[in-house]
Amino acid sequence: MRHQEEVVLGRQCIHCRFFNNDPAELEKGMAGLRVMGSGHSSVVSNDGICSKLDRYLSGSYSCDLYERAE
Amino acid sequence: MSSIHFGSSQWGELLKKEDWWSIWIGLGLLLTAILFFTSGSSIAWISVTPAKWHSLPELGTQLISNASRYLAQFVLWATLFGLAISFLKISFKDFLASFLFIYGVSVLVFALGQWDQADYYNLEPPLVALALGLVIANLIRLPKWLEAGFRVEFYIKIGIVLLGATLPFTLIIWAGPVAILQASIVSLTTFFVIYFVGKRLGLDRRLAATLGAGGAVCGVSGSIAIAGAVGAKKEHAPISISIVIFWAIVMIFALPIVARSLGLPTGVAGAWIGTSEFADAAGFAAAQTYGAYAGHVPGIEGSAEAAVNAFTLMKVIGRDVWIGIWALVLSIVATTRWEETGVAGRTNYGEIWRRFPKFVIGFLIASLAVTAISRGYDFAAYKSNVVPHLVGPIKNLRTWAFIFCFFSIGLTTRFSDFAKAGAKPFYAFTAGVVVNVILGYILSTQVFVDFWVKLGQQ
Repeated sequence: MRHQEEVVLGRQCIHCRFFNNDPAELEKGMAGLRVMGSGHSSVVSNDGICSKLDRYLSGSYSCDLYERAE
Repeated sequence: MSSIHFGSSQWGELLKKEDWWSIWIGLGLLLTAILFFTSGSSIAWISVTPAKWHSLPELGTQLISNASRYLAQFVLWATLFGLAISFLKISFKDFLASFLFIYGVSVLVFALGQWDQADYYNLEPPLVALALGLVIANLIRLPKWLEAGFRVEFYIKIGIVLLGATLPFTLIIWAGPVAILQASIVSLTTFFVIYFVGKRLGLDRRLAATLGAGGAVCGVSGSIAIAGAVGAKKEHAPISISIVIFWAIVMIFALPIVARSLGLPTGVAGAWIGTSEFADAAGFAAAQTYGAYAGHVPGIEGSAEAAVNAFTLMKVIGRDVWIGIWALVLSIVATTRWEETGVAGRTNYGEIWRRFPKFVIGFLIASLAVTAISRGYDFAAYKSNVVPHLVGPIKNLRTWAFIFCFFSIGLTTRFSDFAKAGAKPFYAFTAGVVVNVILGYILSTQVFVDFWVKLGQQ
């Protein structure tokens, strides 16, 4: 992972088409999350799953593969 | 692919996060109770619970005679939960059917716990609800739509906010620093044991950190928060979640049994459970079970409430509230020191607040409000007036919320659905469990024992 200066504001994961942070989808995709946790919890913040990198990460991150969501 | 984005507007979170909804519902109920109380009335009618019973006909009679009260309570819960659920984009229709099932079974579980032979057969409601849920979930394939009401975290957060109303704010101020100190020692030690054993076994640093936070901070919530903060692989969080749930369920049964065999006072056992359970919901099940031994099992000293109070101070105040700081620190470490993943991150101090478990605010406000009201009463008046007309009914509603939660834990724990964790992550986490349980025991029963015993006597 690279350092902060390389993050371009406005091109963060939260705006990317490969990023999904729908709580219902997170609960469906992460086995066991609903047992003693929740996709709707504050601790989840704006985290989501990047289908391009296959990573679960904060919506505040960014990368070179960014494509703006429609 | 189609992407789905839930924006990060801070104001929007007030209606989109269940933490905030637990505050609106919990404090809304408390405010209503206070309004009734100050006008010379009480919400006791709607906070009905099963009374002690000896024979089935006796139970049947009391349930039938209170049928209108249970119906009104069901409508109250369904309305409040349903409102929140609608904002969380969960089908209200599915939720209502599911909650009807949960409520019906909860009445039976609660009633079973009130049987005058329940102590003899160890039929504590938290364990019965959990065990029944586990049996149903693993032996019967329930329809998907029925799962809409199995909201473990939502129920436990509402229960914790209501719990604040029964915990004097002065007690939080008195015991909070010790709880934070003990919890910090155990949390840091547990995290580093899991992390370094995981690293030694060759695990990815991000998986090791995700496992470490699951064991050290707040179980499933800790795992998911840290996995996101460090940008873990998609499969890392489910691996950690599976192991956390396994050990959390083991501890629900093991900690009360061991503490009981050692004859630990309720305050001491609550503190130990608070340091050595891995999830709030699981810990409340264990602490409430142990609290029920007070006055029923010979040799166990302290009040029934002390186990839950000590657990809450240790787990919620000592561990949960620090998750944002853990996330911030580990995200900085991940972006500056760990191997690159193609992703760039900025240091964002706002993460501390964004990940803060907001229900704790409701818990503190509830405690402050009832403590302020109680100041106008001497001890005798508090016992004869405030307890039966204000604190007691809120405590009953809290107990209901906890039973919904415990039953939902069982119903959502379908072992065949969990991610296959693999041996190495399991060994790393288990090393942390061993150290955590021993260290938590030493701190609770030796180092800070006088403090926790005293808490149990208040």
